Amino acid sequence: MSDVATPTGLAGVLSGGDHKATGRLFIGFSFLFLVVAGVAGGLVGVEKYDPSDLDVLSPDSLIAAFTLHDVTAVFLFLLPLALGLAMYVVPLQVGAATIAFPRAATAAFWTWLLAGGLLLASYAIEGGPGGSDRNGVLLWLTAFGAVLVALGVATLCVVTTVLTLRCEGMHLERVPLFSWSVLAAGTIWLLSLPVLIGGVILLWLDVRYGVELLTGQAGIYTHLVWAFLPPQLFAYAVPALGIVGEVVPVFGRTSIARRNPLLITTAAVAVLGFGAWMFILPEAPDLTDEALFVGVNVVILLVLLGFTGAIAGAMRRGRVSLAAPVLGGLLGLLLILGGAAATAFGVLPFNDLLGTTWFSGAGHMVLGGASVVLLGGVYYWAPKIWGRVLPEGSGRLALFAAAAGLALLALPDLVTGLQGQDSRLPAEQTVESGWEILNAVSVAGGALLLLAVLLVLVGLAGALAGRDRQAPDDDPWQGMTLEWATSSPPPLGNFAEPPSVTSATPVFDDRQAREAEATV
Amino acid sequence: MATVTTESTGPTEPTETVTADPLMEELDSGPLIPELAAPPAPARPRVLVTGTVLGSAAAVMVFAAMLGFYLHTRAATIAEGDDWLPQGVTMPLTPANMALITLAMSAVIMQWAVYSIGNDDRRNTYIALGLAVLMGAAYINEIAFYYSQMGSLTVHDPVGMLIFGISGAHLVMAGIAMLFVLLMAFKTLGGQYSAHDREGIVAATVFWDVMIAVYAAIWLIIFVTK
Repeated sequence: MSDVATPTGLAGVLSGGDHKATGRLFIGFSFLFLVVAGVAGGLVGVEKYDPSDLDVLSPDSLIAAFTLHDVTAVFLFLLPLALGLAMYVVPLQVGAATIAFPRAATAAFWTWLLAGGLLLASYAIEGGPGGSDRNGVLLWLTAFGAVLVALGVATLCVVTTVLTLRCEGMHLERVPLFSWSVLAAGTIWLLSLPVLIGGVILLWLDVRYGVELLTGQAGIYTHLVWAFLPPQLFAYAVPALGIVGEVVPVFGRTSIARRNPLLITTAAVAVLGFGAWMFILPEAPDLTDEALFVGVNVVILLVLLGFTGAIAGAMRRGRVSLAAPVLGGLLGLLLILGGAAATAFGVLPFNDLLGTTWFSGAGHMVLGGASVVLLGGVYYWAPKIWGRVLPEGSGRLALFAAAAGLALLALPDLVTGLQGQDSRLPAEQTVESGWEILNAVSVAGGALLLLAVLLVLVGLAGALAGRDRQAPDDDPWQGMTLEWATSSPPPLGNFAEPPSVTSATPVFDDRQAREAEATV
Repeated sequence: MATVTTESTGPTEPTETVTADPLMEELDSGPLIPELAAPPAPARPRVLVTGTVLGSAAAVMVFAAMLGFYLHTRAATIAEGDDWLPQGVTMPLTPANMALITLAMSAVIMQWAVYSIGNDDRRNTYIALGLAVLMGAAYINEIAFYYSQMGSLTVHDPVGMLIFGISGAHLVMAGIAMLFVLLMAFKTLGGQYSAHDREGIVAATVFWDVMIAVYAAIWLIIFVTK
């Protein structure tokens, strides 16, 4: 074990170097931004109730709320939460004493936080993609670019850790599923987010010098929207697949007999989720005319079905208890699968659904499903991260409510999308009868989701504040992978001795061997 | 201070008592400059090189996006029957060629640095790294001169915005590559890199070479085919 004292207090937070402190910060602040995304989504939802007229927001404010919701949900919540969990857990899972480039990881966090704050502030001065103030728009573009750079650096640190800092005996095929999913997703993020950065650079120049080549300020979002469309959405959801693959065997008390199908399907979703090629297609009349767009989204559904089949096989081998992490994992996986099915149906050219609420419903299912799985992951690794077990009852309730809220939010959108409701809610559009009720159900689903998130946050805050939630031991779930072979939370340096493994589930194997010995 | 008694080699010489300190003892017992202990073996696979490869791939994607948009816009403009370059804009090829030749030579020089540090030849390593940085500065100077040769092209023009934006972003990349090389040179000066572990120099060379490859793409797409 390292004989260096763990820095505590403000020094521990600011001085950096420990991947665990940085991971905790990413997780905590991503929740803060989730609340912002939820409120912005709620404002859009209020207007969605009656799309023929704007009740609360002006047209400009509606665009601002719409983009604020999208950008905050993906780049200030979902990706940072996944990266925060990865930053904390991945070095432990691969048996490393630290993360690769620890100070770069810390710098990435502070850059992300500062840039995220500036991004929100830019909306206050009429910035944002549809903003009327040029300086505000430039601030938004600068902040968004900085957020992307910070997330890219954080991703690079985690991916390099998996590639280079694995302990003795941990070949790549023995890497735990979550670390594998982060490796696969991170590689794709590292290749696709820079395309977004390239677009932001050109947009910044366009706005700064009044060129209007990229259709000026009004058209900014059309050059970024590919990052919020399938197949790119699926690349963001890949770490969620890794969490499902982690928790199901642990709570089923069984190891996965054949890991290769899970490894292959997880990596395949990441590769197919590379959507940066759509960057130069904003002027294309219809993406559904692109064979690649249609084909990739259909294949993703098939691959996800394969992944789900492999998980179902693992569940059949054991008796899975529906603890909060499993509940979140399975409900989230169902939502992702539902979103993939909706996407595969929606991209078929004869359906003519692009631009309707069908795709916002499908997107909510994919990203919302991934978020529910990640929340389940927070419940799973909470003993490791904070040394506390989060309340199980309220956890199950919160995760179930979150999944139900997402279903209520998304399913009415699918129905109204089929009837042609525009996803951008122009006030001029003709409103079909029955949309008001469906839109009201959708808004209620969003409210339920927000309540569920608040329940998770209350449970987390209560567990961190109360002494009675102390984790009973270092491995309360009887885990399988290396992060459970050290104390909870781990010391600086993570392990007393550099670990060495001979299988993908060393802690599980060790426990089995000890139990067999005790029986003899 | 320890006191030891030594006897002279001559049988008739009187016995002599001297006072010695432990340092003198140690020097007497071995060579004046002890051999250096072998440095620890570098971690495999190499963290810095792997991170640099990933970072370089990300940088390539930034330029791929911008060049892709350039090609897309140029093709759309020409398809509409318009000229791509505005009236009065000249783009002589000579400065762009000189910049490419400069960077190509710097690639060879970076390999010289890698070879030299592999042979523990520090003097040649420092010379090579210094020359590479000098050539990077020369490249920036050449592109700045090139800008002055482009006639009436301004950043307010769509074509100008794309050309200045993409090539300007590459100047930033060249600056980062120069800083990387300088940092690794200082680390080598501090003894961190040697024949046993030349990871930092290799990493800087990887990023430098990727920077050159990106310029080669810019040279072909923007400066040659215009």
